[in-house]
Amino acid sequence: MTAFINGIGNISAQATFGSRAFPEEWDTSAAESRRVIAPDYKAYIEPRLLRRMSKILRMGVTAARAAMQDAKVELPEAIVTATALGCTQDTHRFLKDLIERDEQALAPTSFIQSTHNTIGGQIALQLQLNGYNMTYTQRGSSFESAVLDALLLLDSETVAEAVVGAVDELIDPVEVLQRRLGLYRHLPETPTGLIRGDVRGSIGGEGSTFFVLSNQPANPYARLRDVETMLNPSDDLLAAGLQALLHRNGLEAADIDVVISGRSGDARGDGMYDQFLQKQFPTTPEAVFKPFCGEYQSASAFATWLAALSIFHGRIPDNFVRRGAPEKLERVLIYNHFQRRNHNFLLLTR
Amino acid sequence: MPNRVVVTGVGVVSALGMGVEANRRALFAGESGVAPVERLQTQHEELPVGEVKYTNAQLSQSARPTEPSAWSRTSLLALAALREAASSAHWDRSMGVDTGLISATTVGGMDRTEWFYPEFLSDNSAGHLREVVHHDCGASTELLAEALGVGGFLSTINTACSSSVNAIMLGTRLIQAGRLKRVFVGGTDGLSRFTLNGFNALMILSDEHCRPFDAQRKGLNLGEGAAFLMLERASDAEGRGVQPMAEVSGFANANDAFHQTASSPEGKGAQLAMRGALKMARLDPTEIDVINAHGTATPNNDLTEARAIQAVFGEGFPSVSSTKGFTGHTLGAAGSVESVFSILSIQDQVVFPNLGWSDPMPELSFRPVTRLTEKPIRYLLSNSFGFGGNCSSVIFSRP
Repeated sequence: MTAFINGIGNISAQATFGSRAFPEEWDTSAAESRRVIAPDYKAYIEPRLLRRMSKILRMGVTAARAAMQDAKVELPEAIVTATALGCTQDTHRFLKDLIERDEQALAPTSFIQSTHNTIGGQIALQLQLNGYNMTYTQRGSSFESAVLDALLLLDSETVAEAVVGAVDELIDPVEVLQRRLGLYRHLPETPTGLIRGDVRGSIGGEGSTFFVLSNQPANPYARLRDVETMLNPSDDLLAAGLQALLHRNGLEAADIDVVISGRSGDARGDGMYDQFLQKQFPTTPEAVFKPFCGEYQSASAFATWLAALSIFHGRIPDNFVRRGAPEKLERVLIYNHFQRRNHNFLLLTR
Repeated sequence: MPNRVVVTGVGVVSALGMGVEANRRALFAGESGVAPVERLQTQHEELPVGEVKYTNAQLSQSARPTEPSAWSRTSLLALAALREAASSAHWDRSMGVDTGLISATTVGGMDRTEWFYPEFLSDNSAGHLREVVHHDCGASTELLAEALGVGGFLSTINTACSSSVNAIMLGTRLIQAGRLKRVFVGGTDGLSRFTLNGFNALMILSDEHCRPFDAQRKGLNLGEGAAFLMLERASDAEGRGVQPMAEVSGFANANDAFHQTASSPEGKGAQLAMRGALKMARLDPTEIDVINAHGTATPNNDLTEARAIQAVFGEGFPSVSSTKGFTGHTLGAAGSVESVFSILSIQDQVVFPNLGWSDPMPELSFRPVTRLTEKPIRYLLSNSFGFGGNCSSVIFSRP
């Protein structure tokens, strides 16, 4: 399988939106969580619609449209969306109303917008796209599910072009809950501090990263080649998953120029990366991404942006590199796990 | 189609009962499972619902979850249906490595979150966290995979009420592409105050038994349930000596791109989904013997779906029936529950009645099947449409 990444729209906690270049500056301040830098949504969504839309809908529609503009595509044949927690703001709002009003005289708007496929539905509605439209929600493997679907669509020549992306929003009640569950830390932290990975918990994040994938190259960033997902794998199964992925693509571990790992700063999970890299990629350079976008279930879409731009520009920003110095950037493997349970590989090449 | 994919096992839990045989009995007897609300604790006792008539504790006993305290109603319903599908397909754990699971749900663990939230709203350090850790839609699928011993690719789809037909589509495509040897596909949704109040706020719930395609229809009844199908290559089924129940002959997914909740007047997305499924199955519309309609009994859905069916199939359209009058609308489970009913239709060569119908809609000459009707069925098309414009159709055929 192979797909050209012809366009990207990336709304994140960094200045990643609206440019094919890496940001000139990175936000490396100490933060309790990394929230997105809002682009000018009005440039992408009519004000009348914008008013009613929660953050996740704004981010989703805007990043998808930006990816299409970047790829100069007007009517893609398929929209494949990933979101792990879905429209949390609208869900929270309706649940709160329901409880506070004791199930009486409720307004339907937040209910209508609470379902996960509202994002893909809004993209279709605003762009009048009648084609394939799908929404995946599988915790830390949500984005990977969407990528697999899109690659299958392209590979089977069902469509020639697909918009695929992931979006998750961080709202206050969810941040509070994740902190109580131990996923996020109680004190602010810098990216450098997170890379050390010596404390329990990461910091929260959110983002919306969409890609135009195509059978044909049009000034592409890179190729998205393959994906593999696993639930709670043993070391042996993890190694087998990697081998299967490499084998399908005629590669060996030594062919990988850099591994982008999902190190989040959480001491409990980061050791898994150490073990894996020692065993499978003892000398391969390693880069990170979560210290810059925060930890969230679909953050691997941000990593895919990082991989695609690194291949496109032939360099990876220094502050993302944790170990070694990549000599070339032609084959990039992303290895990410979420909460030690959802383990995923994504493979990109030039 | 190349790489023929067949159904080798099914399991279902709905308001009609636990298991395929209980559901089959009720479908043949024309007995609806929709009734006054009993289990769900809601202010809206005036709204009839298609409840599964078991408490979570009773479901736990039959479904045998690993850690019952973690399981939402959505997951418990799913596990019962999944275990039945596994046994019906003669599947065991030794086949787990090559087996995937594609599930669908729209509410996930909402029934537990509803208990957690009041306390949490008044004090965000309060509430038992075990009530929310499995809130998200993907949670149930992971619990199911681990309980059953499914080790292959797993994922969850949420395209509202079309979700579980999309699970069937993805599962079929993964097998055809060689990414999976076999896969459980289906969907599940437990009844929750969240959905009941949501649809009520939209004013599309009926305070009577729903009447799909009837002139006097007032809206839908909400239901709950779960259903799973085992899919594998025809050659693999033959290889292990398992008799296929049906073949997945075609499917399509399209978007209406008209409105977040309402369908376009001509049912554009529905037409595209049905035409796409026919095209993939290489069938002429005249070859479809039965349509299991989405038929929710809302004024908007039924009119636009009927128009779309007439546009695709012409005046001489096949037998049409909605089984929503039996089960209520089971949301994320609807596509898979109705796929199991469709497979029963093919096995037994009968069309199940569209309950609650007496008068045709004035806008067009459209009559569903209102009595249990025997007829030769080779090809059956099932529709599932949802919010967000999502429309999906699947065609099953006699193996």
